[in-house]
Amino acid sequence: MNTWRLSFSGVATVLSLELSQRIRSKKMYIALGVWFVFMGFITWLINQFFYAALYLEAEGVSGWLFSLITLFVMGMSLLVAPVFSASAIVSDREHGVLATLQATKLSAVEIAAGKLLASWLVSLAFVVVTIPYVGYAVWLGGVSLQQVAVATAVVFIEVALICTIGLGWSAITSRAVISTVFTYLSVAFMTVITLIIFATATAMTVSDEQVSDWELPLSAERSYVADLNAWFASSSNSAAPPAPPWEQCAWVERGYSSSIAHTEYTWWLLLVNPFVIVADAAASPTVPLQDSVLDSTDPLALIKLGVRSARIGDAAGADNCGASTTWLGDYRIAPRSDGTFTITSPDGIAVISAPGTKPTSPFAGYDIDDPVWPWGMASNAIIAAAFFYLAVRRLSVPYGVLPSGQRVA
Amino acid sequence: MTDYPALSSPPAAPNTQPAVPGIFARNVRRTFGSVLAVADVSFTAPAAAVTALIGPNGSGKTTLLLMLAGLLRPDVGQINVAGFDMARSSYEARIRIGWMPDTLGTWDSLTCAEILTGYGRAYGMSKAFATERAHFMLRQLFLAEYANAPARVLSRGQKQRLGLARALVHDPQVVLLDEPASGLDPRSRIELRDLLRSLADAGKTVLVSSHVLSELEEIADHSVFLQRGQSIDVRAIERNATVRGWRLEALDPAALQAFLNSRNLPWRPGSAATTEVIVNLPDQQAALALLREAVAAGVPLHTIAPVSGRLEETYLSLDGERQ
Repeated sequence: MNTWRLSFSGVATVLSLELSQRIRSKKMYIALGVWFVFMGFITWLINQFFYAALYLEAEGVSGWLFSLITLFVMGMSLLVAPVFSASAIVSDREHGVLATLQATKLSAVEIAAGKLLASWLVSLAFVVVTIPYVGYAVWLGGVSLQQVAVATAVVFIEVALICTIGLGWSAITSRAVISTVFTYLSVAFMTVITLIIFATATAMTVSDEQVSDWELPLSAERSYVADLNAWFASSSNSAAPPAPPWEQCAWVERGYSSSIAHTEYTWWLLLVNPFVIVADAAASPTVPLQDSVLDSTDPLALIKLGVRSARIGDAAGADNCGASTTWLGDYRIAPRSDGTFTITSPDGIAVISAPGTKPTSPFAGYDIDDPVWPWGMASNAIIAAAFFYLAVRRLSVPYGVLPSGQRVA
Repeated sequence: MTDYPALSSPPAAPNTQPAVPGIFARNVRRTFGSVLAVADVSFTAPAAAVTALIGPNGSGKTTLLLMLAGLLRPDVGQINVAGFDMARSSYEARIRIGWMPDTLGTWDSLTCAEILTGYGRAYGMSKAFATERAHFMLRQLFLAEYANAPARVLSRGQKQRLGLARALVHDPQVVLLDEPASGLDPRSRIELRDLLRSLADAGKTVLVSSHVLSELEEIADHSVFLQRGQSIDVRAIERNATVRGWRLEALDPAALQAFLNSRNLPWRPGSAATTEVIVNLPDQQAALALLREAVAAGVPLHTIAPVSGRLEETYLSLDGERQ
């Protein structure tokens, strides 16, 4: 058995056979040309809409332009990749050349890898021709080259995933049409159907819960505010003002209930979604959710914020105990990384407190800055590995059991 | 890199080595779901010989060839090809086999030379050597002028020759050909016959399935008959098929008929365009005796021959057994 024997020349042989067939077809170049013009048109439309109609600053347009082009390229790549991958094995079978390839020195994994690479490279051509338009967004400013590189890399990887799924389907079906349908269904499942499942599942987690906040009890807050008043009233302070007494934090019942959707149980349903992955990896930076002010409101940033907030989830109550900026009386208390706090008086005087107790939060969990995309990539890698394994198994000769309706040659 | 000799090169020295292993199959059986394709096949195809695989449609020839080519695993039974056990070393066996399927596919947009080069590469040849070998094969099979033509412009017979070139591109030790003569014009058939003969002379094991029995009869050293997935004991059939028709023709038809009547031999007229007559004789001894007597009696006899080929007769007796 040589199913898993992998050599560079074997893969290169299959790759060059596949590519020389595709590169020769004129249709391919026409499609690429149409696609280039189409993406140019979309870029122009977005540009006109935000720049001229909404009088946005160049940087705002740039964020939107980059977001929409990235989402568009991702979407179109997901539509293009099945065309080139879902027929990879089954069309050779239909043309009666698969068995003669299997009869050579080539191993099953070499045939599968060569075909996967070929469909991936051809699909990537469609991503590559959109690069000038992404470059335009960078030229406008406000989008970093790093974001462009990350977005492009994620699109490349997601295209590889779809190609692997297409390859897997093309190995187990006996008709190219059926394989293509199943590949498109898989794309639909990963993008749209998981979203519907997420919405439905989240709706089922909604419950009415008594609201209690984790914060300083009123008495402790009053006594601390009195200390601060005294400190700011005094003209000769040799020491820094005291840190807030977070160790006294407790649950404070609010006496009403609220409807809570526990997305922390369902957020993972969004993981496999290529749009979520590219947004989470490549969006412009957002400032923490608690301030409710976003640096960027473009679609990628909103998707990223959405999925990360979903992972953190919702609770009947808030953490007002110093983990993030809090108001005590009229004083604004902002945590600093060294364990002290920036205290801003109502008059706008900011001072740094003495070191105090590190606030403890009962809402220990994910932070808004924790990335989601590594998990998404990992889930996609598992799916791709499964489909690739399937393809190799089905290319391995000699055949033991043949599925009904399938011929060897 | 393996050294690939020219197709028709004779063995370097007289064959003093023990016989090179060819194909050996014992009690091979294969089902597809509930369909029994090959029930019980045993045969041997020696090296340096052409073996014909003969049987009606649906007798399991193609399935048997797929198993011999290392693409299909038998449910039961043992197959050895080129000295390798298919159950344990199918890869080792596979790369020594040149298999030509009955339905031949090609990549329509690639040229003939590219297709053959691709297969050469698939057998591990370097790019330069595969290209050289591809053009050599195209010359061998009289396709040189189509080297840079896409495969889709080839006629059926030319495609068949391209398929043959593809099966032989890596100079296999064992050649399995499924209906290689179908679609070939008479001239190409003769060339195919010569090619197969030269392969056998060069020490290869050649197994050919075909319906063109007269062609096989001229070339095959051995025959394997398949019927309903079973190999048939040919000697048993030949014992049963005692009476054959013989075709006789003389310059003077009346004298011949009178001679036959005088010997009480029943005869019937043969082909309407000729004056030949057909008589049934038990064996070749009887034919020889009749010939001697006729010549002695002064009948101007110029032709005496069996009505059909031996393979055809055996083949037809298979059909007879089927009823």
